[in-house]
Amino acid sequence: MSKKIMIIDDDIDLVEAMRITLETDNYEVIDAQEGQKGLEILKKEKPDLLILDVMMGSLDEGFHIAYQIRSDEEIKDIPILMITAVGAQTGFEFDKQRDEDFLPVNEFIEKPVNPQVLLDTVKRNLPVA
Amino acid sequence: MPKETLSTSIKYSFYTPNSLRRKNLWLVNLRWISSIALSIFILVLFLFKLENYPYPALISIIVVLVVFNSLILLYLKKHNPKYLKTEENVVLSQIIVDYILLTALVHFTGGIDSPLHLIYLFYIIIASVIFEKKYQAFIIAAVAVLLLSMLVFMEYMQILAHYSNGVKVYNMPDILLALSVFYVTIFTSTYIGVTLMTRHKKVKDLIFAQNEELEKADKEKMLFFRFVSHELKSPIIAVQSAINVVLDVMDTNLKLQARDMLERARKRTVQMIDILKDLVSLSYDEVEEKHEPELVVPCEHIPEVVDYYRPIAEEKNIQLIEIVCKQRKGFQLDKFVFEKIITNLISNAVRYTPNGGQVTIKTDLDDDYWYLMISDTGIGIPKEEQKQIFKEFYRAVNAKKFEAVGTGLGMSIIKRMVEQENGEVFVESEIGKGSTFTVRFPLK
Repeated sequence: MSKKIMIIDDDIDLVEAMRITLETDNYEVIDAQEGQKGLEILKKEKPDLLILDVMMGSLDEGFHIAYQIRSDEEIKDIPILMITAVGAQTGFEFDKQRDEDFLPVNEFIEKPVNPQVLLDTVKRNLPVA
Repeated sequence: MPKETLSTSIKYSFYTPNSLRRKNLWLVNLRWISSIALSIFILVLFLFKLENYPYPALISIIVVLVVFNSLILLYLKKHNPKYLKTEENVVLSQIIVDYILLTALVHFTGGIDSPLHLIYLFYIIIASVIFEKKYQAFIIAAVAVLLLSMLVFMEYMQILAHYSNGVKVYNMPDILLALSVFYVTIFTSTYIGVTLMTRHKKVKDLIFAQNEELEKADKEKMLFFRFVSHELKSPIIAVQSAINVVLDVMDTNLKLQARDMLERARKRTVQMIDILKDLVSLSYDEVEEKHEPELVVPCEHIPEVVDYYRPIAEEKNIQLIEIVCKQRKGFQLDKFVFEKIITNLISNAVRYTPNGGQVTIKTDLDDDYWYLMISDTGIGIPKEEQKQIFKEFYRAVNAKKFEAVGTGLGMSIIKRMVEQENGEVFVESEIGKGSTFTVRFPLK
């Protein structure tokens, strides 16, 4: 059975690009354009991995959602990849090691997402089952 | 710029405890100089064998002057400037004691005949510079007039002795003439001094206000950059992602020409995103809060950055030479900014050095500064453009030829970051031979 991956991002063109990329590797892709809606779908569908955009409506909506997921028993073990353009936003790149303590995500991917990098990162973070 | 906004904005503050403290110290310095000058003056009187002057009294006055000056200095050293009133009182007491000593000095060197009575004029100038209110300078002037008049009157009435060399006669018309000239000189000087100071303050207020406006405008510009680059970034990222998918994911049978056009398009999106990143980091330094400075030992960070750039340099067949830096000296810096400075300098050097060249990273240390020198065997910067390259969006003529695409922001970002950390950046360069960028940070 193919793994299910969810994308929460408000830029539908980006979602589409990632969907096509992921589908070539036979993943099943579902998506949402908005955080709270995304959370509902997430709980219902329980995907194997979540790709989350850091900034949607507000500057840090993605972070809030990540925290909510991590504090919800039902879904807290879903791996989260966070896509950021924060490097370009603030001039400082996120650094997983540095931020691990206070950021509840598994890995960061910087926009624009290179297809191969996306596939590799997804593979690396999928739970082995 | 509208005039109203200028006159209503914050004014430059002339009268702070700190500014008065500087003036107090200035007075102390002046007093050291005048003690020396007076000693020479008395020595000259003595050498010319002018025997009518009471030398012991004159020398005692200088001794008192020196002792008083030392006491004031001691007081100033022990107390930090805190209250305006205290500093004002120190200024006042300095002037009062000086006036008394000066009057005594004038008395022992001939009263109205003594050339030393011109020294009162100094205090008029000092008072118009130091005091906030115009009338204060006039009071100081009035006291000088009063003191000299009283002295001359008492010498005339023979209540006090009149020391003089030569003409002993002290007659009324001469006195009146000399005193009137003195009065006119003193009050005119006060008026001129006060007027000049008022104008000077107005100009300084204006400059201060304009400066504020400029800083505000600069900040707004940066926020605008930031907003614009944010707005432009999302669409261009979406464009690139779409092209990526077509080129890298869909295994379509694209015609070679179509593939080539898409490759070109992708390349342009990469350039555009780089430009936007530069724009944002430029505005970031201005607008965002800084990181807390921490103890950075530069020599520990340099190898990391150099290693990161080695493969990039090797692609261009450029040798990256790191003169190993051994200094264990650390200083307070924002680590992130520091690393970005080295990174940007090295990447810039690699960028503008032709294949087969060299980039050398060297450090040095002296008593006051830590130095980082990055030299390349690159295209060099024309002499007349060396200052310009630190300006936003400026690109040297030969740089444009060498690398068609660039934002012209690289060096201005480096300069901003270096200055944010209290450092300085210099460039030495010769066309065709290479450039050396030197960054130095104070060790504090």
